[in-house]
Order: sequence, then C-alpha cells, then structure tokens
Amino acid sequence: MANNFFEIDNVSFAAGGKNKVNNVSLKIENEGEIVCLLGPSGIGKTTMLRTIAGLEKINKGKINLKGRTLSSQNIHIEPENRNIALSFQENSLFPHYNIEKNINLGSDRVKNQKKIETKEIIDFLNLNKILNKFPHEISAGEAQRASLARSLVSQPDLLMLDEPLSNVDQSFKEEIQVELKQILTNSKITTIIVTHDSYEAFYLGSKCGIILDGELKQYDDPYNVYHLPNSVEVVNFLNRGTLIPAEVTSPKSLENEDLGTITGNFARPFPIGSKVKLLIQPEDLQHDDASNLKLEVVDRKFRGSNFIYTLKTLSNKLIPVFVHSHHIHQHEVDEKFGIKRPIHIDHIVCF
Amino acid sequence: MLYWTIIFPKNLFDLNTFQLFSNTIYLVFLSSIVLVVFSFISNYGNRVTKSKFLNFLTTFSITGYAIPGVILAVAFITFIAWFDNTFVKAFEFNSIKKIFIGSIFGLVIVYFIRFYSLAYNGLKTGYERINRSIDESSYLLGYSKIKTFLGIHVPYLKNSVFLIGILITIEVIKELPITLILRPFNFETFATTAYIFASQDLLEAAAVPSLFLILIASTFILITSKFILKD
Repeated sequence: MANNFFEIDNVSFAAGGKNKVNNVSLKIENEGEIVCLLGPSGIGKTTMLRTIAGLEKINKGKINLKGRTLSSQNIHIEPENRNIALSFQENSLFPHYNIEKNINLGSDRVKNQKKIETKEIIDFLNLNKILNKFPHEISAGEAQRASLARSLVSQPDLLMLDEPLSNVDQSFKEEIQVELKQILTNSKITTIIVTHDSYEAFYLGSKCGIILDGELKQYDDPYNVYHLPNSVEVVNFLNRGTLIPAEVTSPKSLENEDLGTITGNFARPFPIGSKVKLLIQPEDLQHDDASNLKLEVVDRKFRGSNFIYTLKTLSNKLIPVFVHSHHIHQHEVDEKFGIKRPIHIDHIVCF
Repeated sequence: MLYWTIIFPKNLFDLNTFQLFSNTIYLVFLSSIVLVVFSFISNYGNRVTKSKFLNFLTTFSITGYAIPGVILAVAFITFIAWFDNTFVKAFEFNSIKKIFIGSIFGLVIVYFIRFYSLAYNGLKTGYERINRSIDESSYLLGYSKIKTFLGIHVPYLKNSVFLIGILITIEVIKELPITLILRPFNFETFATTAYIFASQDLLEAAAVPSLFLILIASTFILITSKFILKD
C-alpha cells in the first residue's frame, strides 16, 4: 500500500445493502493524476465515489489517501474530515445561497496557500453572469458548472466529479474539457471522474477504469483500453469494433474466411491452430477502391471528420471501417466497398 | 361582538386585557419553542439516522392531533394520578401532581401532544425540499453534522419555522378544553375568559375577549396568507 498517493485495495462497494462493485483494487501513484471511470448506468460508479468520499461504509478491504487509511472494516473517517470533494451529478448547490456564496463556501475551507484562484475558475466556467442568482434561477448546465467550481476552489486532496459535464451544452463542453484538464494538471489536484462518455474519459484521464458486471474489468491508460481491451465485455461496452471468427496460422498471422490472411502483432499470444474471435476496430481496415476484396455497405455514419461504414461479409458479419470524411467519394448503402490487401493490423486483439 | 363592545365599553375597561394578552402570548411562546425544537430534533434525527425505531416513535407521536383536547387533558390527569399513586408514593417521594396538573408545565406538555403533528409535518415538508445530496455536499465541504444543521438546514427552513410558529399560535390561542382543565389557578387567557362569561350567559362581556381572540388570530392568519403567497 505504501508510496501510492491513493489506493483502493480489494474493496467491495455496496449501497442500500446491495453489493454493486466487488473486489476492486486500483491505485493512483502520483499526486495530480486524473483517472476516469467508465461504465453503464446503474453499475455502481457513483456508489464507488460516494464510498471513497465516506458517504458509504465498506466491510472489506482498505481505502488509503496520502498514506492515511480512510476506510476499512474497522476504520471510517467521516466525510468532513477526509478533504475529499465530490461534485454530484444532480444539483447539490445550497438553495438559500446565491451562486457566489455557494462557490465561496468551497474556498472557505482552504487553509494553506491557494493553488487556484476563485476568479480564475469563475471565468473559465463562464459563471460571471449568474453569480448573484440563486440555484433555482439557473439551468441544469449552469448548476453543474457552479457545483464544479465549488469543488475546484475547495482544493481537496482528492477531487471526484460525477458526470461533471453531462448537462453542459455540446458547444461549450469541449472548451471546458480542455480548460478543466489544464487547471487540474497545473494545480496538481488528483481527480477521479465518472463519465459515460468514452471520448471524454480518454481525453481527460491518464488512466481509465472500465466497470462492468459488478467488477473493475480493466484499469489501464486510455490507449490500451481502446486498442487493447482485455475482455469481450470491454469490447462490447466500448462498442468500437466487432468480433469475427479466425484461426491462428502463425505467431504473426491469422486467417478469416471473409477477409483472408491478416498479419500483425498479437497483443496476447495464442497457439497456432487456435480458433479465436478477432477484434476488428474501425481503424483496422483501410479502404481501397482498387482492391478485389469487396464487401457490401449496409450503413454509413457521418461523424464530421470521418465516416464509419458498416460492411457485411459473406458470412453475414458486420464490420466497421473508418474513412476520412475528405475522402474523394462516398459510398452509398448496398454499394460494394473495397478493402485494402494485404490486411495488416498493428496490434491483433483476440479472445 | 363589536356592537356589544361599543355599547358596553365598561366591559373593555374592566377586563384585564394586558394580563390576558401576556398569558396567552406566554403560552403561545413556550409551546412554539418546545414544538419547534422537538420537531427539528426528530426530523433531523430521522434524516440522519434513518432509524426505524425513531420513525415509529415519530409516527406514534403525531397521532395526538386526532384526539380531542378534552380527552387528552383527562387522560393526562388520569395518567399522572396513576403514576403518582403507583410509583412516586410507593417510593415515598413527594407527589408530582402539582408539577403536572394545574401548571404551565403540564399545559405545555399536553399542547405538545396535541399539536406535535402540526409542527412535525410542517417541518418535514420543508425538509423534503432539501435534497440529501445537499447535506452530503456540506459534509464534503468540511461541515460537521451540527454545522450542516445550523448553517444549512436552519437558515433554509427559517420560513417553514416561521409558518409553523404562526400555525401553532393560532391553534394555541383558540384552544379551550385543555387550557380550561389544566391551567393554573387564576391563570386566564382570552379563550377561557370568553368561555367563562359565555357560560354565565354574559354574552356582552364575552364579546370583548372574543374580539381580541379574533383580532390576534386574524392578524396571524393574514401574516400566514401573505407569507404563503410570498413563499
């Protein structure tokens, strides 16, 4: 347990007497790191945050922060003595105080030198116009930003944000993400963010945790979570690829009945001859009109900077393929779509 | 009543108005304080502990409002007399009857049993408007449970408390049977004075305290209405 800034050691998180997430072990090595937790609704992400904050107790394992045990079977430090801030998803601003007073309540408890100026936070979250308003007079997005500001100015040892930008307008969201990351990094506030937006998690987090089926399925850096998912459940949750049957033919290749030979580096080794499920992500295949490997387009999603074509193989498998939106032409549904050969995937993920 | 007061102004000057007013307000003040304090304690206790026992106790204690005042007063006297005879005297202590029967203390206890529902539910409605995450946010900002109570709940619920105070005032000043049965000797309120005159067929004399009763109650009702509209 020693030397890690924050550590959860084999803790089962429960709420209302029901176990939500079991046997979680997770650590944040350095102060100032940002960790994102991803998972479907109702899986227990908020319960985890509440437990870390001390709002729920644990009956096994340990939660340590800066070398101090906050929770264990026998120890429970009250929330007010943890110096942990939690920004709730719902409006938790004090209704009888205006926004300015609400935010200042956060800074009231800062005893040491301020690392973040309140004004700086108010400016970056664009709260100047609503400082004199009361919580019932502002929108859900504004309330969420005010709550975020209050948590930030309190300069906790550990900041936890529960879906912090879920109600914020899309146009403003990316701007806030950038500045939020900058402020958290500059002020070295260790942060755990719960979100259902994988792109937000991949951008903000130096580590991502995927919570599925009552357990922490994967805890790794965002690149690995995306490109090297460690289970079928993670693949299905991220929904960024498809699994197709294949047979391992050599330490660096496998064979699929529709795509033919695929070469690359296996993320995990498999014996030659193994029947596996190969993960094909949109970026794995490349479009080539001249190729003789042609598949039928069944859907096309425009994503601004790119298209995701969904192709149907002869064995009725649906495969996503990424194409830059400035590509010289578009393919309509039912048209044939060429796949470049030979197929080489840098990291082959199989299950 | 106004007519009788104007026709017989002597009744107005004969009446010890100031004494009646101060007695009435004294009862109102004491009852309101006790009711509000206990309602706060039980509501906050229920909120923080989520104890089933406390919840049951609260549910049981709010049934007093359904019992007529006269039955409550008689039941209270009977209970005190039984307790005094069975336990207090058995241990050869001094009788406790004087403390509870014919005293302000006993009167306030029975008012409490009678009107607790009013105070508790009034405050409960206010508490239901405070999301639990607000309490939790307060803890996470470093506020203890007591500080959260004093710094967040009390300021937020001050309107509810004010409203409850007014409702209790209206109920207490017009409460007759309990006051009549349990009041100390020579302790009169506007309600008891009006009743005594009326029971002696002195309707003209009863008009003056009745008028004051209506005046005070109406003032508070007006304040309440304005307050509710504002809220």
